[in-house]
Amino acid sequence: MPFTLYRRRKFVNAIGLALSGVSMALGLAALLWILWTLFWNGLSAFSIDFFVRSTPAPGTENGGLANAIVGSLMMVGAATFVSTPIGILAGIYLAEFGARSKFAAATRFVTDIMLSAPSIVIGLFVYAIAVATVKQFSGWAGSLALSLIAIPVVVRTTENMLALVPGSLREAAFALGAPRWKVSLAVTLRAVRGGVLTGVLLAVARIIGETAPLLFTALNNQFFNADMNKPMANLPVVIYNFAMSPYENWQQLAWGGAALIALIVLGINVLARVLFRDKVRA
Amino acid sequence: MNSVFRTVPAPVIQVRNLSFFYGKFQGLSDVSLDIARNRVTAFIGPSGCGKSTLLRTFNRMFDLYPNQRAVGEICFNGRNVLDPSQDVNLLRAKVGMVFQKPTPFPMTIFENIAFGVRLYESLAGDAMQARVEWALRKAALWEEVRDKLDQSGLSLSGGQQQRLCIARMVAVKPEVLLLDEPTSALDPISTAKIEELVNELKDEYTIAIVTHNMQQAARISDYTAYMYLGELVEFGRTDEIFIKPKKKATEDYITGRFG
Amino acid sequence: MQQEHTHRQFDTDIDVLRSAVTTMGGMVERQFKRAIDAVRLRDLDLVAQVLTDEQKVNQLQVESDLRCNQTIARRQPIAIDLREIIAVIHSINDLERIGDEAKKIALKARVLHLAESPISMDRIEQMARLVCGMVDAAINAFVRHDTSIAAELGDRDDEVDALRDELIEELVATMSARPETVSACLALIFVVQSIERVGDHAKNIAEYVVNVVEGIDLRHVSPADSGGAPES
Repeated sequence: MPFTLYRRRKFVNAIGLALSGVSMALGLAALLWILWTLFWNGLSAFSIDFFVRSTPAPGTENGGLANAIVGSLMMVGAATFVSTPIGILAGIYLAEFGARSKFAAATRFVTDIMLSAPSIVIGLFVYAIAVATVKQFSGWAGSLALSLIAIPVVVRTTENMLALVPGSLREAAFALGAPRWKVSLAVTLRAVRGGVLTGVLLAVARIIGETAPLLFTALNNQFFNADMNKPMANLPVVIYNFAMSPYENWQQLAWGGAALIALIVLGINVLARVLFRDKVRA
Repeated sequence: MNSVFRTVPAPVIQVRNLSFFYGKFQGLSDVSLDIARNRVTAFIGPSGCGKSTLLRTFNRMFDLYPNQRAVGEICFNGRNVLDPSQDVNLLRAKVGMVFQKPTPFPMTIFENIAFGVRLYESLAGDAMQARVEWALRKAALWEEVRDKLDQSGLSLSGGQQQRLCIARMVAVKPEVLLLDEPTSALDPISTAKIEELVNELKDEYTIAIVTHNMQQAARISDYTAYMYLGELVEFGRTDEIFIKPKKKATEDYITGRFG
Repeated sequence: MQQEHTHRQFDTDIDVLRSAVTTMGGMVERQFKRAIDAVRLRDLDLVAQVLTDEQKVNQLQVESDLRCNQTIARRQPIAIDLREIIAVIHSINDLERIGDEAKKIALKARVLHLAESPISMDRIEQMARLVCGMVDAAINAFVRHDTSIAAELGDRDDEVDALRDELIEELVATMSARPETVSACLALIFVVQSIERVGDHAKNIAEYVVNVVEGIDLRHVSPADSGGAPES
């Protein structure tokens, strides 16, 4: 009887809705709990000192995270500066030529592997080639490790975004007599620049919080250091060290650092969302 | 030569024994015909008959895809278009194309038109402005967009976008215009506007149009080619084809007596 | 022979239009025969019947034209469909004229009712039979899309024309010799003209058939100029 079937369907539908609602609530609750804990514990650490003083020596009072913040900014900045063009160009290569070339297929395969490689492995690799060889931890080595993590992300996002461009747009550009590189850069890339930018931003958000690779490359630095040739302080490693220390001010600073990272990542994601929405409308 | 084919006065493109292959599949079989200067030649036929394939050989569009190749001769401006030594980009400047789906570039309306022009000419600011206006007037779009040249091309309606694509094509001053089902995605009023545009443009350009709408072919073309399964079945003046075609197969198709 | 349209209703529409021609053809044939009989037998009842027939024929013409308009608007016919419908419109016109001629003949019967026939009716009847056969043949050609009839009817039309010329000569001579027969002779001259015109209309219909099948317009042109059949 159709009516009974209908009522059964309605019932199953209601159960499904309820289950998904509950799951969402659970997930949301977990997320909110994390954020709440972070901010509750961390925001109180924010002060002028937090941003201008360097990490305190063990047992010393006060202090801040200035050196770690500057160090992170410099290394992340350098990594972004390097990985963005490489990643975008590689993504373009894969999207435009990747259909026919064996080399492209191999590149894509390697990119996928690196995308899911454990970051500590990458850190060790960079240690072997850039630290052990010169017997020096450095900010450059840290940047290198972060680049190696960011590049695959940018490559993948760029390639995926470009694949979304309809073939008809490309053909229209070719039909005017435009050469291949011009079609790729001036038309196809431009069509998805919002999405590509988002990919870059997401890569940045990822590497800001990477700890393991920096452990073996940039190490850490108690003092303020803006020289990339030497070990540099950075937020993730500082948090790692301070969180498990017995000193209360260190723990407080660790919370502050964690909250700061969370705020920055949140900010980047919001920015990416806003940008993406504007560019890809119509 | 195939007895189907008749010459036309002042041919601009002469196709001789053209065959086309998608991998192993043969899309065109030994097609020969002429495209007449300053006339509209329409290609009709059921899906898969090869009309779009044929159109896309004229500007070597199939070069973009490794599996596709053409065999035979397409004579344009004294050269065989299919010859490997032919500069494809220059060819495409002379033989423009507009597609079924309107494809404005993700740039301002002005930039859309300037993009093509910049590929071949370096025009100063005023000259470029004049060219853009000229192209938009030719496409009957100037009055509608003159105040919003700096808005994105994507902000226009479907019919306007298609006219923008036509303006973009015309701006580089081609000789031949290839229109691949240009109004399939548009409403009747936009369709009528573009048909009227084609009528005006044919005074200066040679036009080849693929359409699955037979009434459209009857309305705007001077010559019609009926194709089926990759072969040219009949070619002739539109008046004759639509009142008394020479082949029963043609008559069956155009009167809606499909097999 | 002809494949069906994908839109079946289109085939039905064209069939309905064509059957109007056959129906009207039958009607005007009977009307014409009655008119000739009315003259021959001086029967006024037959005259009245012919006049009633006339109304039905006119009504059928109006209906048929309306249906043709509707089919053209709805279907936008081209090629053979267009030629068929145009042929229907032309043929209905010619058939309606045949009906008109029949009415004129019947009206002349009233005049002739009052007197003896001034000349023998034999040749007039022969002419009428010939022309009747032509109308019959033309309708058949229309139904069967037979293009050979046009040429035949061209020849028969020449015969009919010859007969008309002879008859008119005879009637004029009779009028001059015996002035009291002038009104009867005049009436018969008109009758003979009408019969000849009916033959012309029949020939036209056969020519329309050639246009439908071969796309050639034979009006005002000799059928010997016609081209070949369509290739398949």
